[in-house]
Amino acid sequence: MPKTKLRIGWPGNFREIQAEIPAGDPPPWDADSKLSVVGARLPRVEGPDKVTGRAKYTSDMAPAGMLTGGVLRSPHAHARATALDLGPARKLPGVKAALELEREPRYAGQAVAAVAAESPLQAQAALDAIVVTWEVLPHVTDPEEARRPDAPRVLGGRNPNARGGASENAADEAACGRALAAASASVDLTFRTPVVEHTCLESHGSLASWEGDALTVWDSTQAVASVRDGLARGLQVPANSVRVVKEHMGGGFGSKLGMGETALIAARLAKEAGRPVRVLNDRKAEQTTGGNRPSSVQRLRLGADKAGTLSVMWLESSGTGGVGGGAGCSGPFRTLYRAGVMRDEHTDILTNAGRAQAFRAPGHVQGMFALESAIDALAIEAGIDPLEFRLRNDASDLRRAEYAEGARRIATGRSVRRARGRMYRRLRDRWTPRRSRPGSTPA
Amino acid sequence: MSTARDGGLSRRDFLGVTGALAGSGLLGGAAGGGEPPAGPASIGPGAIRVGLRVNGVPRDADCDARATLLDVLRDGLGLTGAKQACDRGECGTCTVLLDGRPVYACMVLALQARNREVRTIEGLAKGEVLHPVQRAFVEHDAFQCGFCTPGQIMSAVGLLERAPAATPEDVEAGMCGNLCRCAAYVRIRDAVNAVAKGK
Repeated sequence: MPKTKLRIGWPGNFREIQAEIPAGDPPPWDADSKLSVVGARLPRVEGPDKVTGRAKYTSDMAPAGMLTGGVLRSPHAHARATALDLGPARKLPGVKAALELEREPRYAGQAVAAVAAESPLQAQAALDAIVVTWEVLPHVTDPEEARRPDAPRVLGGRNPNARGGASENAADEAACGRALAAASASVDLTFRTPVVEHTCLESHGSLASWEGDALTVWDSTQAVASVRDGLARGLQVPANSVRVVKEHMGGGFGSKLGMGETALIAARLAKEAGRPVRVLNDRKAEQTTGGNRPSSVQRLRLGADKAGTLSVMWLESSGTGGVGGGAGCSGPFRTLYRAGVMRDEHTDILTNAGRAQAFRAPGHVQGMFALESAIDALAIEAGIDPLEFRLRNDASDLRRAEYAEGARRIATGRSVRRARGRMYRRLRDRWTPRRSRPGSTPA
Repeated sequence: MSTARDGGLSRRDFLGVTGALAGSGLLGGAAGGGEPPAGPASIGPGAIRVGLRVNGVPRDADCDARATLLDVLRDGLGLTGAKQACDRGECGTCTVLLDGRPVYACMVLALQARNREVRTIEGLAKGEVLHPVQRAFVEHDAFQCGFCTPGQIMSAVGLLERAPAATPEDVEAGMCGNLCRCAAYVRIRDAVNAVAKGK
């Protein structure tokens, strides 16, 4: 492969490297590249469409003949439908399709049945007409209760509610205990974060239309290819007979990376009705089934030596992503700092609640909150300014340079851009009189 | 902003009424027998005709008596610029102007808008020439996904027509009824301040 010389790094720390670039690839950008688009102030190409209302989102699409889909959802965290009769719904005026989806839902809000009708009111009337008798079954929605040996099994059978363990290469607990005892400063803190919902303004939704064996689905999705693949699997049809379209989307934040349930429901209803069908989550369905960021409980034990160097880091974490989805949050713990003795162990806990979805760097929001709070506290225990503590311990040369540059700009209140200059001046006015204890900065 | 009060119903009254309808099996017109409700002459359960004035043009729509102004704009008239997001008067994505004042169209019955002037995002630009607020939103990159943008712009237009000399404080207060989940707030504020005459 041809070699190209590149200058990379950051101000004050550039270096030259030889990079191998496959023949035919464009030359990579480096510090000397003259860029005309990156860094330039350019209006969005879709700007005029978005400010005039011309931009069409999935929820705006309404082809001629389109039916409205409605979904009956479980009112219980775990129950069995001992009777589920769609007959009365099918007989109502305007109802063109009805589907049974699940007789044993395992969280409140889970889709149980679906209908398609000429109007939203007819669809609602059809859902109200479905006869269902529920036998409520044992369930657990509190993650601490779910860990008890006698707790109802969320997924049934012998599937355990709690799964996890220590990561590879983790130090053993005894070594952590010894290092903590030897540390000249240490903290032992527990942080709790709640489940958080994405709350996309445009809910998950899909519009499905068949022409013969060819399916077209307009979907509010971040990933048209994964929706196509999910539909092909779910419907047992070739992927090349499925076309998924998304021009604009009203927010996803990770919750629309996989195929949502509305795509499959809309496609099946449309097949049965022989008409296009649009299924949109209403707000309640969106909040209960559209995905969430798992909760976390994080116990952090950190120790530092006399020089203010981290000597031991120990993270015990757990969290629930409802009926599925990992709740791990150790990303920041494993990447930001290094210590001689490190151990992280995590437990995912199943509960009878809506499934977690990716949300803005999964795990990092919870993990960063807890870790950086604990680092602040340890710096205070060690009698070291929290910024100085990070400059001594951060594993990344680049990040240390960023901290120093940020501190310099805040201290001088200067910046190349006027707007940023204002921001930094405001920060400086709060920074200069600060004392090093967290929470002591004047408001 | 007390948008629902402009239509004569509080938010709580409105949700109470529509909620009771949903729970009583009346949705879909399947009312069955029973006494007609006491009080003013009832309308429905069939479709009713609502005459609206939208962006200066008279528009008739046939709808259920319980349909909201947002339902009629989007489903009846195909004006999909105003979005439905929370459907309960909290997020502002459905903001339109009713007699010049910003209202949440999900909290106004279509009937309440009869013979009143409705303005939507579709009526702002003159052909390809954007309204100054629309232009400012593009220039300041005051959006990402754009879903809340029509509502944001209608709130801003309503504010600036009432108070062309709005100060930055007026703008913050006037725009506080519109949520942006992408959090473009700083740029939205900058865009509206750029059009406002008050400094």
